[in-house]
Amino acid sequence: MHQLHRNTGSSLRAGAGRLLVVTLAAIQLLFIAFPLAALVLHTPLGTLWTNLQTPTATSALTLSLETTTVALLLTIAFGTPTAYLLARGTFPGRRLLDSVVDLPIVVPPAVAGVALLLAFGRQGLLGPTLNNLGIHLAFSTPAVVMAQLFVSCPFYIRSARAGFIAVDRALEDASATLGYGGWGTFRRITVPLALPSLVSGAVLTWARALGEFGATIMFAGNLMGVTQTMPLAVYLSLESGDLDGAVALSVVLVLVSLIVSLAVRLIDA
Amino acid sequence: MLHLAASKRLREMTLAVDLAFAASVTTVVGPSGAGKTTLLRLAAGLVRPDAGTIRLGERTLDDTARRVHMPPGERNISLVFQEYALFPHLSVAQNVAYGLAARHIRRAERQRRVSAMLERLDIAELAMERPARLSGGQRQRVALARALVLEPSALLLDEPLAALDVQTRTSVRAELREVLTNLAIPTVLVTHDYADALVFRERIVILVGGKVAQDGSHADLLAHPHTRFVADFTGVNFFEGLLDTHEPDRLARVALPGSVEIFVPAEGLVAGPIGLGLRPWDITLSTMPPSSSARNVLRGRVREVLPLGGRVRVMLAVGPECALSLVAEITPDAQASLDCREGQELYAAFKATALSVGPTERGDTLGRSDAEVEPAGSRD
Amino acid sequence: MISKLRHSTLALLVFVSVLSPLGSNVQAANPAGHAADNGTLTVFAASSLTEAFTTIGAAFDKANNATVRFNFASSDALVTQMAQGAPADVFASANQAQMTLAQQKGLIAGTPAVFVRNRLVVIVPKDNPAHIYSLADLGRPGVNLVLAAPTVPVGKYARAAFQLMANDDAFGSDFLQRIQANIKSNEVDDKSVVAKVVLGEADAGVVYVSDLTASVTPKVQSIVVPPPFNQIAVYPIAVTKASQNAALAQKFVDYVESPAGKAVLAAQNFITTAPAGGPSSAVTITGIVSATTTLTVADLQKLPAITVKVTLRTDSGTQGTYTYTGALLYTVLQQAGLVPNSSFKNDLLRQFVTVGATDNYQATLSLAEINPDYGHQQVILAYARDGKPLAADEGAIRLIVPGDTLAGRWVSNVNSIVVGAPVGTPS
Repeated sequence: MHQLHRNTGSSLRAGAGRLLVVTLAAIQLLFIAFPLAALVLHTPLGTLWTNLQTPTATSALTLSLETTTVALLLTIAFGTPTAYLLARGTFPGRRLLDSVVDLPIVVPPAVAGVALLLAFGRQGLLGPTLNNLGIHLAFSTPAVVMAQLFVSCPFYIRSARAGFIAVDRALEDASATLGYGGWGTFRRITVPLALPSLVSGAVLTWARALGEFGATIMFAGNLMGVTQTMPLAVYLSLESGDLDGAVALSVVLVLVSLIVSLAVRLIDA
Repeated sequence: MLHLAASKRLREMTLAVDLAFAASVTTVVGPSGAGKTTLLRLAAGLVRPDAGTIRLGERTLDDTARRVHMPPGERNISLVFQEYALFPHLSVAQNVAYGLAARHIRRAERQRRVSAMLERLDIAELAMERPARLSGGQRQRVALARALVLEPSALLLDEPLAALDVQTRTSVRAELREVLTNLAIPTVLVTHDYADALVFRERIVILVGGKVAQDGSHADLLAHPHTRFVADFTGVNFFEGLLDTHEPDRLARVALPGSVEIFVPAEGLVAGPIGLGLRPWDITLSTMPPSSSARNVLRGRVREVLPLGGRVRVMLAVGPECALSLVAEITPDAQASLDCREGQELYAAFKATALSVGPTERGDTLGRSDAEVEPAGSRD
Repeated sequence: MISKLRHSTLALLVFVSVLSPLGSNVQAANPAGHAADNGTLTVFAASSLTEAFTTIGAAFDKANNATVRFNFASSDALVTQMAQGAPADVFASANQAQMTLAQQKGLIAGTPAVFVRNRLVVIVPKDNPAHIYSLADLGRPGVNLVLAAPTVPVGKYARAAFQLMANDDAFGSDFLQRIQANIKSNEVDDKSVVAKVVLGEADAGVVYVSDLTASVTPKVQSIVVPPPFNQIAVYPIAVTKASQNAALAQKFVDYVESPAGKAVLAAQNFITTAPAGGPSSAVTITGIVSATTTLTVADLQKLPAITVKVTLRTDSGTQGTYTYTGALLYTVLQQAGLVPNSSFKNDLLRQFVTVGATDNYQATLSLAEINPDYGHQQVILAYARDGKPLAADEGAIRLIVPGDTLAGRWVSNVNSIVVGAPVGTPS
């Protein structure tokens, strides 16, 4: 009798606990899914398609795709050696460098925009030099790429670094003794083994670059066809009361992000 | 011949050696942290010496005075890593072919050589498998195949048995003996377990604290240890035999060479080949059959008596055929009372629990905790 | 088991109650942050009203024991937010169009009242890297011009002003195309345009005169947009239909329109709509000066007093002979800081000063006329007549130009002085 009482007690507790967990999780998930659903369901599909074909929308889409692709390629080109150095290097200040690389993630995008201005702007530290070289970054498409690059490259570098660290050094040593120099080993052993991390890092970088707003509008300005990326177009459409236009672009952004997110999951698996 | 006359400063000590390895198998033994792995890495070219030269035959691999350093890939020296370092994303065949591809050997030729090597090591059926699906022993063979297929001018093995479980070790030790004995290239096998050294007893280098403590055959080391450490290190008894099926919680019988039978606590052991270690001073000697709780009593003859400072080493041949070698150590007092002499008949007794399965648990030896013996765990 | 359930429920309740005072807070005029007794207001106001309304809000809070929270953004953004249900008690827009839109969407209660006006001004970075000295220079190819987006009031006004300039022959035939080509960014509000100019990124920007705050003015140079082209931005204010505290909201609106509120706005260079011809108490000096200055009679009295004896003649005949005492206009301008352009020889001889009154009456003098090295006219800003304060209809400050025959240029109720330069660069 006593035994029975104890068992029902604990299972009831377990049941209540489970219910609480499920309820909290359901609320959290709904909180995420609901606004996005509201966004997607706002406009009928036909109207959505029409709204996406306005000059503003097509220009923003094209510009976003072009700039984020360039930003991603630059990130991979410069970020890969950086990540490798941070993973394998033993030099003083390496831990500090690790933290520095993380900074653009932590710093608010608007602050990043100001920082870029103070560094590369007309009156910034490099302003006179750039001016002498005939390079004018203000209000230009390259400035958009720079803003995107700044805020998004840490994602790739962090992921790549973790990927490289996870590659057993003994494997690289073995490859060396078997006949391959630095690049050969990197290409055949390090990269293939770190590839899932590299890819998921690249995907996150691209997604972040796609969504970048604060630094872009501050450093590059806002002009259709030159610097008005999708997030800027969404913001300005909304500001000026063009809700439908804003929604159309937002839906594209959400869908792209969803696909990207799924892709990352599948790659990791 | 592979000649290393070089030094390298490490975190806790400096490795400084002048060793020449002829075209046979040399075991380099020492406690963890002695510099054994660094020695191999120097020979392989993965680290550069601070000073000195490394030569292989006619070729100079390293010469710090003239700033010569040949990269690892050009040395034609194969290194088998401690945990084998098989490339997980490649199949067994691709792993073995890896070095051949680096030398731009054409595909047909590559495949031929790989197949031949896999056959030779009896792992041909594993060609398409990924390393993750192989057992420890199989992986070791793949690592060997990968190393040997390149027909290296020298072969280095870093703790080749350490990654295996205790019972696999025994059978693999035998296989290794078979493969390495007839290679005719300088082969250096590094281990912390003296039992491995006993497999290739012709030349053993004892490395302690980065310096060579002694260099000779097992017989030399046993008979004329230069230091107490060497004595402790090498004086261990090691037997390989067959464990009988048994009931748990009871003693099991092990059949040793020379028709000797001994008993060992069976807990956790599986019937089959087994290696056992026994420390010399765990053996008691008596002229009459002892009446003690020791379950192992072997009768034999004294072959040699060696006073070694504060103790006396007695070499015996025990068993019905007096064919099994046994090394015991007793105090000078005991020697005085026993008056051991060559040819004397004695009884050697030791407890079943004195036997250790797969000698080294602590990673060093059965040596007493001496100041010279360092704890396991730190990489050279 | 039951006691454990009770425990967790209790914990949950405590947790929830701790989290309830969540209220969102964009800007609280009351720095202490706690709600005062008479309630809380949320005011949606155009960005250009940021500094003025923050000051007004603080004073209002104190006087009424209330808390006013502000949401400053471009007027079009505010209307969008309110249409989507964002709670506002008061809406102050930078143009009629957005207020009308808000009315059409049924967001406004009652009739909006215009409470202040604003004017456009062109600003360039302090070092003027593109060498912009006139409005026409803005059309020069290669100039980085930054405006607010077309749907933002100040962006719309700027474009209207450029349209007016384009209609004037002095600017050249394709002025509008050239301006269009020079627009490098459409910012979200006037403050963002100011930021781009202050940082030196933009060569020029079009913003409101009220954006020339104390912190901004030292960092930029301003180019006057003369009346023919300048747009008068009209700011209506109204209580919203959705307001939960309509009485307090109306009090706020009343406070904004009161002399106290107007004073704050005037100090921020807004054009406070005083009743036509009402008395002035201070004169604000803007335009090509080092620092925008506002001077009261007391300030004028600190300068060396000049006395002139003049005969007041109008169309209706001679009114009398009086002795006026005041500060030399030239001295006042020097104190505000005249800014000659070193690229032009004797640039000050190009410049003029327009003195304005509360009823928008204006008279213009050239700087040369009153420069001691040239015309050396003893033009004064008078604050006393025959040793006593001026007559009622003269206000607190009157311009006296001794050389003139008729008193047409003797502006009464002086409240503004603008130093300017001609449109178009001399070739």
